[in-house]
Amino acid sequence: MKTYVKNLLLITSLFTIGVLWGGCKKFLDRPPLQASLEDLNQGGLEGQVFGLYGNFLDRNGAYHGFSSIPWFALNSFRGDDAMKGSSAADGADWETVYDNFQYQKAHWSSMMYWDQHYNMINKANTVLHTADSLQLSDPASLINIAEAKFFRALTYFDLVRVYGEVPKIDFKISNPNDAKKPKVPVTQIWALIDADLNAGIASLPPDWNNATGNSRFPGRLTRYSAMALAAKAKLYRSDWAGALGLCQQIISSGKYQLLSDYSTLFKVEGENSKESIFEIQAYVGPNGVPNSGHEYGVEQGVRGSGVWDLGWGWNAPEAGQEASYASGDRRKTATILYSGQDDGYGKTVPPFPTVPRLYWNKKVYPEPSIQASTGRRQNNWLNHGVLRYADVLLMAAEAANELGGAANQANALTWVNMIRSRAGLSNLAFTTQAQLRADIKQERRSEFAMEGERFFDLVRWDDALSVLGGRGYTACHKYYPLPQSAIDFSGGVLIQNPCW
Amino acid sequence: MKKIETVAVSDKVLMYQKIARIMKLTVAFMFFACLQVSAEGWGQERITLKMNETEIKKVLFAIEKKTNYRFLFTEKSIKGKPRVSVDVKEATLQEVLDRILANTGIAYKILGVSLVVLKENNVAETVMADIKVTGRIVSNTGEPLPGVSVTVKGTRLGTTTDANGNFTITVPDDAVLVISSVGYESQEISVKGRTSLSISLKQSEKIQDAVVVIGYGTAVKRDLTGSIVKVSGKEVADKPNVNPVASLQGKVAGLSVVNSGTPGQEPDIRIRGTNSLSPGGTKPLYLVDGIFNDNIGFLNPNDIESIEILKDPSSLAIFGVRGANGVIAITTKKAKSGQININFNTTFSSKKLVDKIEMVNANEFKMLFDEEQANLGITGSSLFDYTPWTGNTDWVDEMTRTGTVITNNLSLSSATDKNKFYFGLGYTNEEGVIKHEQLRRITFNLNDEVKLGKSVKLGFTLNGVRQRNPYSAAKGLLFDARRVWPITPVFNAGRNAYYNLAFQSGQMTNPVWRLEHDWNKELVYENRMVGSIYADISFLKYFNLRSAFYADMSNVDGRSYRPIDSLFDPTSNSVFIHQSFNRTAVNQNNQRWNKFQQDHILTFRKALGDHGITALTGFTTYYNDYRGLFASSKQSLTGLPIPDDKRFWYINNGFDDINTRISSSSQSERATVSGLFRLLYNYKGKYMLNGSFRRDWSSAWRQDYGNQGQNFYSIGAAWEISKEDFFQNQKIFDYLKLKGSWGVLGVQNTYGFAYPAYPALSTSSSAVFGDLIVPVFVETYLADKNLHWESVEGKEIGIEFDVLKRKLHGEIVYYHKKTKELLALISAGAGQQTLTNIGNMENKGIELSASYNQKLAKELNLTVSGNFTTYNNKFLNSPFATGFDEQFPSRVTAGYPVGAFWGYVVEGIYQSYTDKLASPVMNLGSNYGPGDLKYKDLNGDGVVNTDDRQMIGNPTPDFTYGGNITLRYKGFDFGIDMQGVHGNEIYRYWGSSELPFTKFNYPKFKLNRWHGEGTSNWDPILGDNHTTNRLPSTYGIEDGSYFRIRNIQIGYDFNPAMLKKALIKSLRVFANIQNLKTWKKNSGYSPEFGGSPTSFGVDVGHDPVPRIFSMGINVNF
Repeated sequence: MKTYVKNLLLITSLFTIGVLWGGCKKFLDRPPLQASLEDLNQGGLEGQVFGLYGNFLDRNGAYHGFSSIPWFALNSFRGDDAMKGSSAADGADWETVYDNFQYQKAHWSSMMYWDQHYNMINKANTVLHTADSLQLSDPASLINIAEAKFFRALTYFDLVRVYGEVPKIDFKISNPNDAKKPKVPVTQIWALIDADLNAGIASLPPDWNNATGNSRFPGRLTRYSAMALAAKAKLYRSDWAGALGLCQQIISSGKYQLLSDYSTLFKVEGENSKESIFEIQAYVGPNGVPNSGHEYGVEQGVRGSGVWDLGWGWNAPEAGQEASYASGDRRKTATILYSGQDDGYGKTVPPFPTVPRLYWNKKVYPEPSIQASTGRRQNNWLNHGVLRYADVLLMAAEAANELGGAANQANALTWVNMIRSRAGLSNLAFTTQAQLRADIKQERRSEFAMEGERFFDLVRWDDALSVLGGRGYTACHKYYPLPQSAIDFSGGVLIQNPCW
Repeated sequence: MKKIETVAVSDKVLMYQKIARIMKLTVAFMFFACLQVSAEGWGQERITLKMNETEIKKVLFAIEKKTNYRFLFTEKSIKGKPRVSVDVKEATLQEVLDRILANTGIAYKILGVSLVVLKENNVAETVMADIKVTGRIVSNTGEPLPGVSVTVKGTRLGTTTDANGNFTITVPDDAVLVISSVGYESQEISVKGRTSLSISLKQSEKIQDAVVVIGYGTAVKRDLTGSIVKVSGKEVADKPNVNPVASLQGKVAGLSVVNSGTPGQEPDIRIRGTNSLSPGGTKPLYLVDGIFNDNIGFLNPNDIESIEILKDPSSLAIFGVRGANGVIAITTKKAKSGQININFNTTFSSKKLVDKIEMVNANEFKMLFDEEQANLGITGSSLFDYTPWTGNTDWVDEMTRTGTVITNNLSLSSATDKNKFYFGLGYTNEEGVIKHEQLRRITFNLNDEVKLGKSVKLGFTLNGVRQRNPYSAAKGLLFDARRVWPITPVFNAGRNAYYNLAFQSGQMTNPVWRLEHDWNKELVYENRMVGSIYADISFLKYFNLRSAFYADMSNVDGRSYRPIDSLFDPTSNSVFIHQSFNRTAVNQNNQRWNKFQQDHILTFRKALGDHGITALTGFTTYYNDYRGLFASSKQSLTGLPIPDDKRFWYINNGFDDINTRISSSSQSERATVSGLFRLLYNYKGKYMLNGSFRRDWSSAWRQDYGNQGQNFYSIGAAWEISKEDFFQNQKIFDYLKLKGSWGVLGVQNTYGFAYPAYPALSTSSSAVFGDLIVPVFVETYLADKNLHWESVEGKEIGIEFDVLKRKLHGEIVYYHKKTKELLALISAGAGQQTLTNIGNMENKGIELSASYNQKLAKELNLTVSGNFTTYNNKFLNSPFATGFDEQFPSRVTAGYPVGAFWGYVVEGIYQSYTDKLASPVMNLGSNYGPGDLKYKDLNGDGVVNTDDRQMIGNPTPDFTYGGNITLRYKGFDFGIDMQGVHGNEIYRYWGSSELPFTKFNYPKFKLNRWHGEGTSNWDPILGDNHTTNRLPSTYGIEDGSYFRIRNIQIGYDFNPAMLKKALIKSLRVFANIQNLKTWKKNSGYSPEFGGSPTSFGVDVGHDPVPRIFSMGINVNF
């Protein structure tokens, strides 16, 4: 009996071992329990491209680099339209660093801005690598490639404006060491931007409309998005003819028009409108679901308490901006929300100093109807406009005026007056090129206030020293110092900007 | 039981025996003990034997082999006797003996059922009178000891005690009895004519005699070449820590335990330094009765019999890819032979927050904030209006309390020769020092082992736990409490609402409000069952096959509710609904983990003359999977709120808006197959050789990349010098062993990714086009095709010794570990991450441990023990460095310790513009001036810039130490445990480089800030606009050294004799204080800060470690 039990157990065990040895290979073959890129067609190319759109909403991705306080700081605070905002004691360092031009080599904002811009570049490079290694050349893939290139160009456009010379990473990094690259001259970065956008112009569709004329992908990149960014990139290098040519193609396409009411641009109904060329998308559905928002509006919302706790109150209009509008300019009240006054929807904003500022950015004000439908008080649903038709018109006008000649001047005047007329201002007449140049500068200031254009415009017009000099701006402040973290990572390959 | 018959033996004749014979004798007696019970009686066994011209001895051995008969004789008595021939079939023993002993002058006598004593006839005549001795053997705690060997000195004659510790033996009246049992000190007792003996055995305190758990078996420490420390279960049973490893702090050389104050939370454990860069990659392997685990949250400390800490390569290689971080092997309690035993114990503890972080009060706050506003140039109506903010709140006090812990345990065990049964039940209710923080749990432990015949054992073990977890946000809320302005009152009784925070509401919410409103709106229950079944078969005399199947199944079931909640805003004198709490919502989730393991281990154990061999080979598999399902839903915009009643806290609650239902899941699985081999060899018990090998195949790596399998191995040697003849003449050492080992071990580290070779697709965002939401496919990191396990090449060399007549035992070990091809997620600059194998890292140090026993007076015993470990960590060559965060200074840089802090060295403060002009220019970007920190120009180039940073602190201590003093007097015992850490730095993030997204309350030390020439040369001017002051620098560095009285305990064991009437076997009462006093130098709650392997020792303002006072009683029936 005992022997029997013993032998039985022995045999059972040996049998188990045998079966398991046999089954080992199968036992050990365990791919993940959800899709990996290998499970997707064409390496998931389109999904990867969608990932670039989604990356703008991803806090571990590009969000802080494009729609959050580091973006405000580097693209907006430095201009004379906007300042840090909030109460004076809140984030006091940001005001010192950006509004008062005491650039800091190691500030969280610049590190995030840099890292998250390169994050976008690396993701775009990964898409391009996938397309390249699979040798994809079908029309759909060519569109995807062009989209990735657009995002790479958009990102480098920010970097070259903010930092000047930066490392050119236009390949997939598979070994971390490959990321340690020295800076290249700005011309190389501009060349990359041009090439990427030319690919976009060549491959992107004119629209995403279905048979009934509605867009299947509202807000998805089109040929004209690439043209508009390409025009802007040329404008920054005073390539007036190149810029004008691209703008005219957009204008003559007839795809775009100005909205009749400027303030509609900053409401949900104005999202992805006829005027929109590229917007960072956000969507919050009924009752807050789905919640695919970003905090672009939250970070700029009125910093009050109770029902007036609409956000952090950062990126607020400066008094100088408030004073800069021509009388009757409708854009003033669409841009500036006054403490102690009506919000435009029948509610009174608490007065200063109950709330810590006199002015707030009205362009991100949470509409009460959307507050009610989403069940949210703070505005995380609003798209963040990047390129719109008004910009194309003003770029065209600027380029035409700079090129000169009667026809160009007439066109320039027409385009400027389109903008003015929508703002409720009278038409201008042509006097001198310089006068029209000044008018265009003023129109840009009023039209794009709080939208992250002003500082870069001042720099490229060489007006920065005269306008911002009193605050501490010097020639050294044209480019921000590279983040110390990036220099540390490179182990000395990356050299700090001159002056710093 | 059969009586043992009288026998005449002369101790003179039988006196001189060889050691080998004694060993054989012991075996014989073990058989003998069994036979006493099982054999049927004399004369029934028949013998069939055929031998030609053989020595008598060999014939006798042949009979022993075939039957249960055992012979007792001296070599001398049969020496020189003629050879004999036998050829019998089915003969009785007498027939055989009569034949072979004829004409030899040897007589025989059969004792009991099967023991035969041979003696020369002439001597037999002169034997002394025999007497029958009965006795009882108990342990020094009064427990009867079964299975103790009782032998007549110098003979093979003897018996063993029964289950009640009783024995009976017939011996000459002047015999000396040798009483011995594994784990107890042997005793010699002269019978001197007495017929009744009462013997108490003392537990052996010789550390080298301890039986220790090694992987897939046990061994006597003496036979091993490695370093294994055994800690008795008693050490953790009566300490007020739900997680038993927390009680090991300071007890074991090389084991670093960093506790957190959260109930039930696992401490950060590292054995012999930081061996990996991966989060969780430094965790040791837990081995609970054989099952591999990564945590032991399911164990009741009261169910633990012993804990072994395995630290060296020769002990660890058998664990393969999971061995490099050391192993904590836990043996749970099993029934011990003896009658039914019922144990009940109960402990009551009280917990108090000590060493609170000191923050300023309302008046001090106003003074400092006014000054800061002035520094910022804020004037007039922009100044903060204090009028509505009239509080003077200590927010940490508002959040905390004195917590209590109640622990009750009941166990029942019963053991017979055939069956061993143990059942334990435990209940713990532990409150944290944060209000409402509470952990409740019930555990049980059930195990049984049945013996089928002589060689087959079957058994099972089962551990279960059910617990209600503490409110998960409590720790974070305490973190917030430190930062809230003291001028904010907590609660407005008139409006029956909590206050909105002054100024800070953009970034924070009132932590007391959240705590009071939410703690009971989260129901998280954890269930876990860990069990095994096994069969253990001994066959062919030297072989043993053990097959075991293990399962560990657990789930966490959670539900939570978000209420509609309001706050009072004094600026508008209104109560408003908080925007995040304007609509009710529920969350429901379920997560489960399954782990299955099987081991099939074949062991061969044999002594071949002077060669002792234990060889083992085995096959084992491990499979684990995880499934998580998460869902939420909200109340509709127009409908009724979901009621604040847990009846409705489910997704389908009847109130929710079905369009708001969101669900997601998470799942993964992993399998490992391993083959292993080990040899433990010793020659003459003096020279030891241990070798092991294991190959692990893991599904973590892709089959098509072809690197699923990896080898791990070790070899160790030891020399017990004190057994050498030449060593016998010295008087210093009573025991001396030299040992050394080398091996390659593994770290099962995949940086937290379930499928390291298949980068996960990002789920953190979707693409949005208008109101269209589109899924995205973005890999979260780049994988490397050549990924493989990092490995650790470990070495150690050491000695073990006993000196001062065995009163002092000591061990000294030097260890060196080199982690090769560290696996890490490298941020390739700018957000692109790659998972790859990078450089090497080194850990080395010395471990000392010693224990000393001294009898101070009659019944007064002193034990002193201590341990000391040095650490030295260095990240070696690697093209990569990590940790370039501008707020946190922790870095991993070649040539420096892992997690070293980088920053500037503060020389003082610029007292004036003159001072600024006289100092090197500071080129860090921002402007600077009087009141700002003056950083040292380290390279002396006249400019302070980013080149003037250096390592400003090391979070790894130079050494740690621990000690214990125990005094015993009669039933009383008094013990004190001490522990300390020396030579590490802490980086205090709060009050230094903490991001000021809002203005936080000031730490008390800011009262010393610079506010005019000569006011401070250390704490800079107030004002967040002074950005250079926030750069990581020595301003945030604090000395992490501390010394702590970890535990003081006093206990009393009642005299068993007194308790007998109440049918109580033993009764103990005790009281202890844990963390009585910590002498620390830093300003945080505690000096202990764990963290990830690359960033630790950073004080972010978390983790108070409470002082706990406990009283308890322990009764055995």
